[in-house]
Amino acid sequence: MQGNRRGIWKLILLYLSLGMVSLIILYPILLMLRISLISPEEFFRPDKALLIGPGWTLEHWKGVFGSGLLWPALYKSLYIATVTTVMAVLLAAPAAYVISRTGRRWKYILIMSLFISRMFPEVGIALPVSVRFLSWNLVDTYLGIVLAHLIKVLPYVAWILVGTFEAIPRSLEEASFVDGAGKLATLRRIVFPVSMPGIAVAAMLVWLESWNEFTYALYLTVSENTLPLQTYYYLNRGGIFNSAAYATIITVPVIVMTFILQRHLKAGMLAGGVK
Amino acid sequence: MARVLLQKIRKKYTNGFEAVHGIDLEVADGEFMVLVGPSGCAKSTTLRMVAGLEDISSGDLLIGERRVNDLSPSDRNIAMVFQDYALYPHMSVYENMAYGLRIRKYKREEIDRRVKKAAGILGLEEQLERKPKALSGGQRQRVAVGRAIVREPDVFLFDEPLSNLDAKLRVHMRAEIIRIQKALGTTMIYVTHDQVEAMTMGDRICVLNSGRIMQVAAPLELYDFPANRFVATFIGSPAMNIIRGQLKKDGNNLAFMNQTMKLTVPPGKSGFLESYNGKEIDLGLRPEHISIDMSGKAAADVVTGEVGIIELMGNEKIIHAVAGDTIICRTDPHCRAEKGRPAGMVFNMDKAHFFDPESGMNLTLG
Ligand SMILES: Nc1ncnc2c1ncn2[C@@H]1O[C@H](COP(=O)(O)OP(=O)(O)O)[C@@H](O)[C@H]1O
Ligand SMILES: [Mg+2]
Repeated sequence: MQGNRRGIWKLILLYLSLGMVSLIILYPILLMLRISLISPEEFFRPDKALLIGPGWTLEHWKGVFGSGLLWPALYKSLYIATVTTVMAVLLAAPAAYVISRTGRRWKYILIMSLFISRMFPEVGIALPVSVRFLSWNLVDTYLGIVLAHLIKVLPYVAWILVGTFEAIPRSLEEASFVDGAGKLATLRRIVFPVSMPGIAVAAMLVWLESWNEFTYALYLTVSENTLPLQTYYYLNRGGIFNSAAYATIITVPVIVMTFILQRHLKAGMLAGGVK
Repeated sequence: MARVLLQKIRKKYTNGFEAVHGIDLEVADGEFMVLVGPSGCAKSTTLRMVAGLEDISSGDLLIGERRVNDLSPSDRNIAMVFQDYALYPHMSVYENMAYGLRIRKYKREEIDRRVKKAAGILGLEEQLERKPKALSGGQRQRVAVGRAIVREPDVFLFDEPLSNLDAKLRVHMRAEIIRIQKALGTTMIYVTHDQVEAMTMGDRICVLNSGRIMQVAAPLELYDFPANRFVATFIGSPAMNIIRGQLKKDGNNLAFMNQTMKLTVPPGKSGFLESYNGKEIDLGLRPEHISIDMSGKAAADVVTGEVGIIELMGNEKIIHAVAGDTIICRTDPHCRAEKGRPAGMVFNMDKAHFFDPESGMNLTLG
């Protein structure tokens, strides 16, 4: 009996603290949603009750969907995030594999050198990058932003993938060699499939990073905005409500991805293979 | 099926460490050869050189009549079982076993036939669709063995395949591996650090120490006629007693003596030992060749010691007695020696070995 009651209290405490944490995390998101749905009169009323109050409207959302600015921005953001992800994984995977199979000292040096480009603040490095890109006619192109995003994400992807590949025991590859497979076949049929969870995690992180990215996009864009730029564009003109609607649109895939991510993160990819 | 021949095989790792110092070994076609030795003695290195997973620094490696030094593992037609099993975690048991055959482009029916047959031999029919993570340790071990046998290779290479299993399963798998190897008649090189495994499994045993071969012989020969002190103490449990002393002429015979004992060297052995007269020497005698005499009636070759630890094993008693060195005797379980009391130990000197204290060579082999 005693133990049972203690258990119940523990459970109540657990849920209470979980609830508080979720509230702290959810509050800004709910607020953002609310602002995108609030009527301007209510919003500017001095004694308004922000989260739960009267004055709901779909006007801002209608405006956002009707303006003709959403779809190009959405398309551009989706396109850039996806292409960046594919390229980042394709470029980083072979490099990361090689790094993961080199000696310990070299490995450390190589990984550190990957992060050199990340040592400078983005606002600092974005200007020289865009000047360079200007002379290569890359400003205001999709390719330009993709390349800029790659500067940003490649170190992270490579780093995650080095960790992923390192976790694969040598004996797995050796078993494949002995079974008659060459190096490439072993990569394709053993190493990459077994690393899939790690690769997926890296890919999703890249996708999110590129999807959210603001600084490079700002420097390299003249005409067609990405979603974050579009959010900022409204904010800059005092369009709080439209901005909130855009912010909500940006957030949705982030939440979905994060859910998928956390499932992948806990699944043991090597379970049962060795020992 | 093929014999394996190692000629002056040497391995120097890139960090300059010489792990294998030019070993010669012939494993006959169909033979079950066990490589045994303490951890770090280069058993795995040797096996991996045969597999092609490690470069051979110098020497020749022949499988069948082919020199295979420069062939990749995939071209050597060997199959290996790894200590950690190295099952492909994303493939089912069936796919794990079929992988090597698919890579080699066998026909679907042939693959199916071989996998089913191996599964039958190993009792894995029910598990074929499962992933490795859904298997017990023993079943994973079987899959690893299955993956090797479906290939029908020239040589099996097993690297401590049983070391992750519990004791009971280990004994069972030991018997099963022997049975499979005998049934298939495939040449086997089997690595273990466990001398019991070596003794029970091998047609012949190759004892390694620090990258050198200490002796290659059949189990019983290794036990009865160890070539040197290392083999003498490594094989057998409890280990052979090694006692340092001197040889002296005693009338017509040679005698082995130190502070606590004086033992007669049997005439059959003294021939080899004449030149050690007056010199230091190591006496080696297995625990079962020392009996305990409580009556005090035994006449010759008795050493009196104080009984220390007594381990009752059920079918025998292991008695540790101190007479200068600690001497271990293996006696009948009803022996009435008591801890802390003196006991007479009768040395069966006909079974004694004498080793050169420097080189460790067994001087009494002839
Ligand atoms: N890649 C390597 N580089 C340098 N030394 C190594 C390497 N692999 C193993 N060794 C050394 O070679 C010796 C033999 O190792 P190993 O063959 O694994 O021994 P065993 O299998 O008998 O336990 C050990 O001293 C080990 O430290
Ligand atoms: Mg080993």
